[in-house]
Amino acid sequence: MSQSRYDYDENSETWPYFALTSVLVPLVPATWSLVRENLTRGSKDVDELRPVSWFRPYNESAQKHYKSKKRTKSIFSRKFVLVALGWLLVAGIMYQIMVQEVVIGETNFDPWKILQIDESASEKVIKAAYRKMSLKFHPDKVDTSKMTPKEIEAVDSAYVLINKAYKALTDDAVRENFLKYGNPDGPGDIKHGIALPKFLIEGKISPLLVIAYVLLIAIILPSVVGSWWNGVRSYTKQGLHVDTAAHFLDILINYNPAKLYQIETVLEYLSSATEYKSIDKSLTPEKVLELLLSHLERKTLDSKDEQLKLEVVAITPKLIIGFIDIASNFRNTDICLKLVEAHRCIIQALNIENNATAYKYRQILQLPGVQLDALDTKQPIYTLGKLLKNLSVKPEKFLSCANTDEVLKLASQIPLIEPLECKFKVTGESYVPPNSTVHISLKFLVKSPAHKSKPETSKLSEEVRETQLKEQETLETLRNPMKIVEDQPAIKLSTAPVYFPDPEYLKENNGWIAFLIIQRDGKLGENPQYVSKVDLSNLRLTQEEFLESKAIVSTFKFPLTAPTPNEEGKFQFRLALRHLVYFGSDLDIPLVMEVENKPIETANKDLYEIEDPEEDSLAGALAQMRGESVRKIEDEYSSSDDESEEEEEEEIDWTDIDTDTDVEEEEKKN
Amino acid sequence: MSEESGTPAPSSISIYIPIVYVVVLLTTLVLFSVAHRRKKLSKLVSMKPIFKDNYQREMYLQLKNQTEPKVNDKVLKAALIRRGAEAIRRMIKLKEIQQYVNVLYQRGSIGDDVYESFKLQSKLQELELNELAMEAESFKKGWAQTFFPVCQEVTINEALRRRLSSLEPMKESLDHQWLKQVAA
Repeated sequence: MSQSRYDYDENSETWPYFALTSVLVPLVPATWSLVRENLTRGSKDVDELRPVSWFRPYNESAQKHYKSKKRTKSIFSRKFVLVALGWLLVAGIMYQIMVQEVVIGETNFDPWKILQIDESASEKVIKAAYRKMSLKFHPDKVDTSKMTPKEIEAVDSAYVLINKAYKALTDDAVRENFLKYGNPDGPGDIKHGIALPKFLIEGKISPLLVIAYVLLIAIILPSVVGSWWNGVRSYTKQGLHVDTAAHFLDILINYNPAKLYQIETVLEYLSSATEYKSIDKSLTPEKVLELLLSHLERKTLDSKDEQLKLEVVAITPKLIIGFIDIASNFRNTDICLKLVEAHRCIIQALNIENNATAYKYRQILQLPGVQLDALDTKQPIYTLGKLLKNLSVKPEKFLSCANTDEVLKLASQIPLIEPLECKFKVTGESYVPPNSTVHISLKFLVKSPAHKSKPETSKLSEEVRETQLKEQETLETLRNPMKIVEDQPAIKLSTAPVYFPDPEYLKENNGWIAFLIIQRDGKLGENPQYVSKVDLSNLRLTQEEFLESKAIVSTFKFPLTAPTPNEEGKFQFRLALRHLVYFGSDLDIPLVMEVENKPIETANKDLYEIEDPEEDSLAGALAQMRGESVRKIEDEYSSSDDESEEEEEEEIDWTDIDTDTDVEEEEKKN
Repeated sequence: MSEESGTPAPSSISIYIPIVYVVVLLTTLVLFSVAHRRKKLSKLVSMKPIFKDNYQREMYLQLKNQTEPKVNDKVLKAALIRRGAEAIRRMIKLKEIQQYVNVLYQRGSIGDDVYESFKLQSKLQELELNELAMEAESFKKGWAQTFFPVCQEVTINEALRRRLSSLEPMKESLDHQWLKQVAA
């Protein structure tokens, strides 16, 4: 065999394995991800938002249609089809491997197989097998009279092979070589082969193979990679299409502070988003706006438009969130707040702009089944609280809708915020020093609109007071002040809003959005934060239980990316919390940041006092947990000859241990 | 395989084959580069400008190129100041939004194209200022020093006027909204 030649897979024994491997390598991970996706979806179904069973919205059938369409789309996706095809292919190849007989010829001479014995067979067995086989295949013993010449030749070659095999096995050296290297001549060259069947290479289809190869390398591969890369680049990190993001940016750059921005204006801006084009190419911005407005008016359209409307409505909140992200970067308070309002209007299908009565009664109208025409508009019941706690007017009379009890029950499950304490906090400090990393810590009670007043702080259970209200400072909370917030369970709304078609979206965007507004110029001070982790168990308490010690205190923290100002002074802020789904759960808290520079009290500490415990000792850890000071361990590499000098250094050092680590962590996050 | 080993058959490949190969390779590369450049250019042309049309600039250029009848120098100067005022306004606006756009781009909230067009706009604006300085010099030597402060004052004045004149329509629309809510 010449060195420059490669073997093709003459007996087609290797290429099925090759094909199997190349199919399985992408197939197995794809299958795994598909299975996991479906598993997580299955488990999510358990905590899915409960639809309202006692009220049928006007668009119920359209919503059902939309949901079933979405479900089938997600199950029979392209990925699913590809994976199924892949496994079929695998089955085919496996079958090919199973049925394939290994043709024994010169190229793969296996003496054991020829004699039909085991590799461990002893000489005796070999002899016996040989005798048996040679008797069977001896040219004289086989009746060749009725055979074609070809068959006769086959029998002859079989006999020759049997003889050869016997000789190979009875010769010890040759047998050894066979066992070790698989050929009679001992260690030979390493064979290189190409696992392609020969008919592909040397048959008539070989030009086709070359063309296929060129197509794969020169056209398919670059275009696949290119389209993937374009796909990655055409969506921003927030999931907006880049054109949409550019459109939003354009609006903000040409923002006119003298113009009054309304919900309809905002929706008009949204309507030229590129995402709507992917629903239906024929959708013009005018049409989108028309559909959105008809959704707000709860108008029924013909069935085709109704479907389009739901699809348009389903993606709109996501676009709004993306718009908020860009607008908040421009520090634009007006547009941000308007966008949140629009978000709620879309989810509750309420138009609060065209009709002033609708605006006034918006909290009541968001309840399923409540109609503006049926409301007794002489009653000044504008809030959920009034609806649930007003005893002078019967709710049945005021609402005059079916299932009043259910409506009231649903209303009482809408979470409200009762703030207990809200302040700027620097971890590990009792005041706000200049140039430090600060966060806003808001302690609040979640309460139902049906709850009256709020429990006295002294009436809260001791555990709540100690751990939730006061918040102990341990090493861990010093390192990650957000931990207490992260440990809270994610918000889970009890029921899905009835008119909005996509409950999937509401699983995540169901809390409050917090804006920090600088009072001086009315602009946003920071990017907004989402309040998405709150324990809502307070909602299930009765009035008495709420006032007694059963209530739980929740925490929300708003980390500021910018450090506190350099100079001392008072700085006014406003924390605006807006609920993303429900009307009437908003809150505005004025805040003052008092930056002061307290002298380092320990500077004049008596040197002969008992020293603070060392940081890494047990006593040190305890002291740190109690919020006391500890001595920082010196850097291992710093040589400390002069003890008094070292102590002076310490005193400066340990006061900002905490802030130091904080800064580092902030940097990592960024 | 053992049959194939032996003296290699004399190659029957023509001398033109490598030449054809090189020619095909080069033409593909040239075609690709031409197509790529054309695409890039068309992308640049189709880029949406950040600002709306610059009427002040158009007006000045039209007046300057008008020969029949020749435009008075004073009119031309006034038009140039208007053009300068618009340029300054854009400059201020670009400076103001630059930080926001940078942050958005770093966070991946906007695409590469917008960012490119933003940078392009900044460059164009600088060119515009240079051109303005040259134009001003062409009227009178040394005018460029006082020209820009004048333009800035015009810009600020116009901004104030815009805010002032927007108060009336703003009041009207707020009135309208308020009345609707009170009436109900």
